[in-house]
Parts: sequence; C-alpha cells; structure tokens
Amino acid sequence: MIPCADTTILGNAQTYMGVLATFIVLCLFISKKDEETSNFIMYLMLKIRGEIIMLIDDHTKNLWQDIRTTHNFDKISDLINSHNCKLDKKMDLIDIQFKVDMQKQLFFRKAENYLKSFEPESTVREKEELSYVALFTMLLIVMVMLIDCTSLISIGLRAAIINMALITSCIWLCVLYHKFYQFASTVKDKPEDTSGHPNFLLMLAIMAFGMFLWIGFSIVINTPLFSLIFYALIMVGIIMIFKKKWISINHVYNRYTRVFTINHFWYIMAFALCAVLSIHTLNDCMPKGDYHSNISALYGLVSDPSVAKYFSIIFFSLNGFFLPIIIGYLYLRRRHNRINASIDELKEKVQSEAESAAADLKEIQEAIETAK
Amino acid sequence: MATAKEILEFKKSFTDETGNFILKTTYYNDSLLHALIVITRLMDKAIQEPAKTLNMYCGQFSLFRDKTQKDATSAKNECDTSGLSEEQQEEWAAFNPYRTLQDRLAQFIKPTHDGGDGGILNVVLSKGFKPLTGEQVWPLLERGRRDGSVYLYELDNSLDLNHFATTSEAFRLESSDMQKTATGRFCDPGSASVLNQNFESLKEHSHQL
Repeated sequence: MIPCADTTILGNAQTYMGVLATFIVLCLFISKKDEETSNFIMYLMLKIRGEIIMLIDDHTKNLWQDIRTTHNFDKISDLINSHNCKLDKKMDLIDIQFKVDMQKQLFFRKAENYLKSFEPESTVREKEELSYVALFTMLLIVMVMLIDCTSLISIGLRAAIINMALITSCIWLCVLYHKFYQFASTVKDKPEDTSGHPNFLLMLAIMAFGMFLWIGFSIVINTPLFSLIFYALIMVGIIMIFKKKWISINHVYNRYTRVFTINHFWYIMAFALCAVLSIHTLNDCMPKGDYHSNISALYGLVSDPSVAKYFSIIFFSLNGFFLPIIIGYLYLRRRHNRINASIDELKEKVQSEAESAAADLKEIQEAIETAK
Repeated sequence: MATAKEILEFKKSFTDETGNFILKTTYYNDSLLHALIVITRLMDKAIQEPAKTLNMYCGQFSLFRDKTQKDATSAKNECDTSGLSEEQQEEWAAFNPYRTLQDRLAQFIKPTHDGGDGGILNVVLSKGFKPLTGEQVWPLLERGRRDGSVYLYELDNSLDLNHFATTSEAFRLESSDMQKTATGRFCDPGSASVLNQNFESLKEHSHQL
C-alpha cells in the first residue's frame, strides 16, 4: 500500500509554478535569424538594445551641437579676405579652418565607431547563458514539482532535498550570470585543456571534499543559518580553487553549453541528495550532545516545508523571470555607460582642440588688427 | 570677392604643365567659381588613382543643377577683371566653369569602352532633396546609373555634418554651405581616408535611389 501524503510542500503555489514553467519554456531557445522570437527575454533585450542605440545617437547629436557651437569659426572667412591679411597669416588662418573642419569629421568618425561597437545584435543573440539559466530553471522546477508529489518519502526529507538543491543551484546560476555579464571580448571560447576524457573519480573527489568540509563545519557551528552560509561559501571557494580543473575534466561537454548545463543539473541533484542524506543520517545516528543539537537544528531548518515553499517561490520567480530581465538590462546598460563615457571623452578632446584653435585665431586676429 | 586674376591662378595652382598634381598645401575657397573648379579637378585626380572613385556628400547636388549655371555666370560677371593680361583676358572670356564641370562629369562616368574615363561617382544626398529629374545633368546621371558608374543615395534622416567630396587622396571639405567656403588638400591620403570612412557611414544611414 502506497502511503498518502500528509500534505504537499508547494500547496497553492503549484499553479504559480506551472505558469512560471510555461513562461520559461518560451526562453529555452534563441532564434539566430529573425527578430521575431518566442524567447521574450531575448526579444526584450533586442528591443532595449535598439532603444539604447537611439539614446547614444541622441547623446552624440547633443554633443555634436555643442561642438558646432565651439567650432563656429565664421569670422575666418572675413579675416582671410581682409586687405591687411598677409600671405603667411592667410595660410595660418586656412590651417585653423582646416583643422576645425577636420575635427568635426573626426568626431563623427569616432562617434560612429563607438556606436557601431555597441553590442551588435548577433553578439546579443550569441550570449546564450540566459537560455541555459532558463533550461536549468525549467529542469529544476519540474524536479521540485516531481519531488513535491512523491508522497513515498516524508515531507521533511522532500523539503530538505528541495532546499539543498535550490541552495546549490544558486551558486551554479551565479556562475552562469557571471559568464553572461562578462563582455564578449573577455570570454574564452574553448577551455585551455582539450585532451583526455572526463575524470569522474576526480570530479567525485572534489565534490566529496566540499561535502566533507561543510559537514565538518556544520557539526561545530551552533547556528543553522550560518551553516547554510558556510555551505554557499565552501561551494564558491571550491569553484574558485578548482574552476580550471573542473572545466578541464568536463571538457568534452565544451563548457557552458546545454549539455554542460544538463550534466551540472544532475551533479547538483546528486550532491544535494548526498548532503541531505548525510545530515539526515548524522541527525539520526549521532549521540545526543552539542554536536547533535547543531546538526539537528540544521536539519530542522532545511527540512522545514515552509522554508522550501517560500524559497522555491522566490528562487523560481527570480531565476525564471526577474533576474534574466534585470541582468540582461544591466549588461546592456553597462555597455551603454561605457560608450557614453568614451564619446564624452572624445568630445572633451575635440573641444579642447577647438579652444586651442580659438586662441590661435584670436592671436592672428589681433596681429591683423594691429597691422591696420 | 576674388578677382578674375586670382580665380585663373587658383585654377592653375593644382597641377604642373604635365598635369601632375603639385598642390601640397591646404587650399581655401570661398566662392561658387572656386567650388566648380575644385570639383572638376577632383575628378581629374580621381582618374589618376587606382580606385577612380569620387565620393560626394552634398545636400542637393547643387553645383550640378541648372540654377548654378546662372549663378556662376553672375559670379563671373561680378569679378574684378582689372590687371588681366591679354592672354588672361581671352582665357577669362572662355572661362565657363559650369559647362567645364558638366563636360568633365560626362567624360568621368563614361565607360572606358566608350572612350570615357570609367570613373565611379557615389553621391549621398540629404533627406528630402529636390528632385533631379528635370535638371540638365539628370540624363547623364541616369545613363551612369545604368552603366554602373553612378550611385545615388538619400539619407534616411537629416544629418548636421559638413558636406565634402573626396577621392582616395584629395578632397574638398565645406566649412559653410551658405558661404560656399571650404578647405581641402590634394595629397593627403590620411585625411581623405577619414572622409571616405565617414562616407561609408553615411551610406549606411541612407537608401540607394
């Protein structure tokens, strides 16, 4: 006889999760050809990109008006045609006129180059990390819903698996967001080491090392929240220390692809399950005392169904909808600010040259007027 | 206002007797007559270069329009002709920069197999430019477009960039459209390259006619 569930973890949030999953499905793929894509996050990014280009264009036009004002050297014509203007002064005046006219052309040239360097549409489409986030979140949402309805195991254990999977996933998603946030020019296409096969033993050793460290800390730390913070810190530390090694032993998946993401989904699920089983076993088997109460408090926190429910709602809302949009926008905004700063710097340079030309012109004008 | 003598001297200042371009300094011009002379000389220069191309970014292509013929005649008549030698007086009488420019354009864009120079003329016109179809120059341009020697573009949006005409090495860069003042050089590939790159950008902001 199959035991009945006392209750579900997600409860009334299940419908919301289902709707979110429907949204996420739309973001799994990126169309490389036409702008009309069902991936609404990519579509939104392309629209934001178009609008930012218009903003840069407007900004350039405003600066252009300033430059036209500072580069207004209409009186040169009168001075050249003045009877008192000798040939050498005439040549100087012509040089000034030429310089200021060329500066305007150079400003246009460079501003156009900056504008063109703003994240071409193809580059935006090639940044697939957000679709990997969608894929990963999609897999996780299905897994969480599946775990939630598996009434064969107790609700506490289900909640603990969900919580640990979500915490570990946060770290993996941070890696993906970080990769997305990097500029295309700073990202390497291929891992350094491309020889050999994945070394599962080594991968297992790295994961076991992380687990061992965390459980060791958890036994001695008496605040369960700190244990979880340590869990995240240890994971981040391991990523930083073993990043190159990890990528090289996973190289056959050619890093940051869908295969790589799906594989990591299974690693994370396996890791979360191991972590939960470890603290669950320790909680049951350890002799009573301070260490047991530490582990017990930690297990009590991670196996709390309410924590799992609200953590799931927050996690999936953020990663299924809000963060991809916000981080996509911030990425384009960062590019926008950089280009605006470059154009401003260019304008300052052109303007200072105009000021120098104006000073030269004043000097020549005075010389001509003195000669009258 | 430049005198007739100055205009004739300006006309000759670009090349030596053998037709080689010798003008190394920056030139300046502030009249319609100067502009007509310079554009004619730019076509001469373009033909001596491997690309044989003249790129023009102009608002209305006004130098080639019928109205310019009248304006050029008035400008010529207003010039002070004192101090001209007999030879120069004859030269001045025969001086018709508008006709010379039209003839030069015809020769410039005519394919080499028809006895022409086989040059390429690219023109970017401002947004909403006055139609060229009724102008004398239109049949020439139309034939050039058919032969693949003339390409006309119209800007999609108005742009506040000074007009210019450039080959690979020589150019005329307008300072004021109203006063027809301009500077330029005939042997400055570096500056010409900036203008040619700007021309390519202008083409990207335009549609071909």
